[in-house]
Amino acid sequence: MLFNSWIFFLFLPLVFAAVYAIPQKYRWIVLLIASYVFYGWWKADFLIIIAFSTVLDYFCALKIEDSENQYIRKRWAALSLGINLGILFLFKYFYFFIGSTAWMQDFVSPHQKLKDLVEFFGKSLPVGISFYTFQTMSYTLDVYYRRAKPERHLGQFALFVSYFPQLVAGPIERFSHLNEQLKVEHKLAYENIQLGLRLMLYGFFVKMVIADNLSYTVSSIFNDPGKWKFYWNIIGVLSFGFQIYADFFGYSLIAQGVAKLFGIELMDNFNRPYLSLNISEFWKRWHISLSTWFRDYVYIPLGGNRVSHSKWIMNIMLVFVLSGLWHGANYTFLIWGALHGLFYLVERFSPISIKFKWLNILITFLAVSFAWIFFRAENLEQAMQVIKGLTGLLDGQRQLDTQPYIFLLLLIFGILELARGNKRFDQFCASYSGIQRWTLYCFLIFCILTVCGSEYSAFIYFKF
Amino acid sequence: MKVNIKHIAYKFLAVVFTVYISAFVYKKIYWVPELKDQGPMLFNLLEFEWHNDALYIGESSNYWIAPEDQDKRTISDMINDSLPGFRLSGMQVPAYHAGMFLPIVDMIDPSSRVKHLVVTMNLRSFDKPWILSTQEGALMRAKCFYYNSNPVYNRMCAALGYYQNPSAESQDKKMLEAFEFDTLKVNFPLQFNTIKRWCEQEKFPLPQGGEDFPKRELADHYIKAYAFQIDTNTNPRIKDFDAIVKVCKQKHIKLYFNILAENVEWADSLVGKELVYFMKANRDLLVARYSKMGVVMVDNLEAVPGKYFGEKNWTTEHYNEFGRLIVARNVADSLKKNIKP
Repeated sequence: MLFNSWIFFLFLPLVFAAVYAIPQKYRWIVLLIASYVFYGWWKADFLIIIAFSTVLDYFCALKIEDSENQYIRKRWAALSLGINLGILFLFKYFYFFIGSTAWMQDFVSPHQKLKDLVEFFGKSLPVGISFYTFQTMSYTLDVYYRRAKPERHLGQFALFVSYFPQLVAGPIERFSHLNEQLKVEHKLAYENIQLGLRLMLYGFFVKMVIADNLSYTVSSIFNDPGKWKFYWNIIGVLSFGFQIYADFFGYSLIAQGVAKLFGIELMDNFNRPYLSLNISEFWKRWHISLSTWFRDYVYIPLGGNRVSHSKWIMNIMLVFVLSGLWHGANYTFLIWGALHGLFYLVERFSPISIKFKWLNILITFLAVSFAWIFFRAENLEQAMQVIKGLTGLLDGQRQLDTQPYIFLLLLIFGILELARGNKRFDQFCASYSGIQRWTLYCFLIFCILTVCGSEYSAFIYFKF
Repeated sequence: MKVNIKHIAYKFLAVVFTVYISAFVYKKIYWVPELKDQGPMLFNLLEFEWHNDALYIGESSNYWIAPEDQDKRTISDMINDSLPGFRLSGMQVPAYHAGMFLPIVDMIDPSSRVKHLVVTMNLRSFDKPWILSTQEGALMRAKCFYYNSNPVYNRMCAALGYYQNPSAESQDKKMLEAFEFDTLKVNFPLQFNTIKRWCEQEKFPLPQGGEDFPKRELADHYIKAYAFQIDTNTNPRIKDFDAIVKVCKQKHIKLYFNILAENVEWADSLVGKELVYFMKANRDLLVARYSKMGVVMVDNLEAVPGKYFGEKNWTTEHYNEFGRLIVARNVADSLKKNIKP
């Protein structure tokens, strides 16, 4: 089920009413059923995977906790991680792996059944598999490192894994942060409803008005970069940077807003990333739940910065490449991750320091936008075509018929983002009078109804 | 939970007022320009209905032009030429079917000038490959813009996915099941009573062994396109055409169904008399059903010779200038009989 679908507007009030109508003791049941319905709406078959992952991690964590023998603890942790990563590999990387290794192709080709199996995994990608797999893996690792006590209630644990507001595109929550909140009783509070609806409203504006309206410009450019005058290629690439931010940020806001209705605080996933002064700061502001995951579960266990210089460089590159591959099995993601790693290192070792803050922001933004080309392109060839298009080498002559009001909307979004500063949108609103707030809300509703993208489109990050 | 009911009432009113203003502004400013892209047929209707005596609603058959054509007019333009003093305009979008035409017919203003309506009746649109087309989701989305309700509501229906949007996977699955299990019931011996079995039959053997594959592929495509029997109780197109008839009666619009020409010659030579039987039987059923309902049936099924079909490697209703002229003349003749001088 998508947040921006009519069915969600029926689903949410029903779940909301059901949750607050029954005693706290049983609320987890309603939320768990709601979460499974929410997820199964795409394809009920994939519930098997999430249920299997839940049961596996539940038992492995208990076994880890119940044993004092380090070897046994390690074995259970390895089993949990191995199977989780195995499932992720099968659904996300297996097809790509077979397709890009000649000897595997030679092996598979003569066997029809094996070929069908590869095809099956190539075509079936459970929505949000990377998100919930990483969430459950962090749980196992937290229990293994004794940073968390395991959950002994299977139903409660299943709810932690599948809690619907953040199930399919994050934020990738930590067990200690989310599970405790899910267990505590939340009374029906007007303030929670108010804050939740504020976040949702802004989220829908950002997704449906900004992201969806930019998608036409972006797709036109990326589908045929040679057709357009070179400055349209530049506009297209920059537009993608805003599109993906608005799309993912919009999703995260709606997720936070929905969770808030139930009294749950989800972590912030974004903090105005395009105002970053450098790449290092960008990663502290962009998809924060993923970057902190890689920091805590990959970078630090590899030694962090307490290793030799050469190993540190390797670790940095490894973390960035892995975070690229996390998005999908494609060389484009690999290059996207590697580019960020490279930018990070260049920045770190560069002897030049720029005094002007705005120039640092601009350089970082341009570097990130350049890397987005690889993220958005379907293959390397397309990415190279777009890059050629940027330089004017493709000699395209056509003008794109993008509606100019879209850039006005983008400007309004930019002003709102600048105005809210480091405050979350709900807190930002709280600092204004009722009339000022409601003027803004009415404006956002007006925009959603009159100029939102009319195409029914999923969130970009759902496919990861 | 402490709440101030008065405050909530004010907020609710503010939202209602905003929605009302949005609906007003959208209709006045954004609706028509947006229709140009999202709902082109309605965009045309809003203009045409005040300047035309008749409308011609169709799909790509109306405007497809062969590269070698000297006369590049559409069928509707050709009809117009045969009817001096009478104005008819064509509205067409590729792949549209009666389900898409219905809301457009519903939107015709009864006080408008339109008193005659010609709707193309494409035989293939009654068959499973079209009904279960993977394009159906996109068509249903476009249909949202045609509903006779507030344009902002229609727009939000499209944006929030409030329309039938079957997945390509499920459509393909249903179609393959239909090919395998739907049996053709006739009162003469038919060796292959399902599409699947019929297609599996060996065709066009070559002297050196094997089959003439391009011919075989085309023959199979003809079988898939025309070997079906319309069930008037379940076929969704029948329901759509029935509804069009009802709406036109209410609006006092004279209705004409233009049964489009199919390449019957090629169907006969590629597959045989059995396939032609199904084409004619379906045509006869449609003519009988809708004539009874008072619709003027323009039967063009066999009117266009095979050589006038534009595309030789597929089943389409795309005709060259001579084919279009034949169809246009037949429609014009029917219109002439019903136009009051």
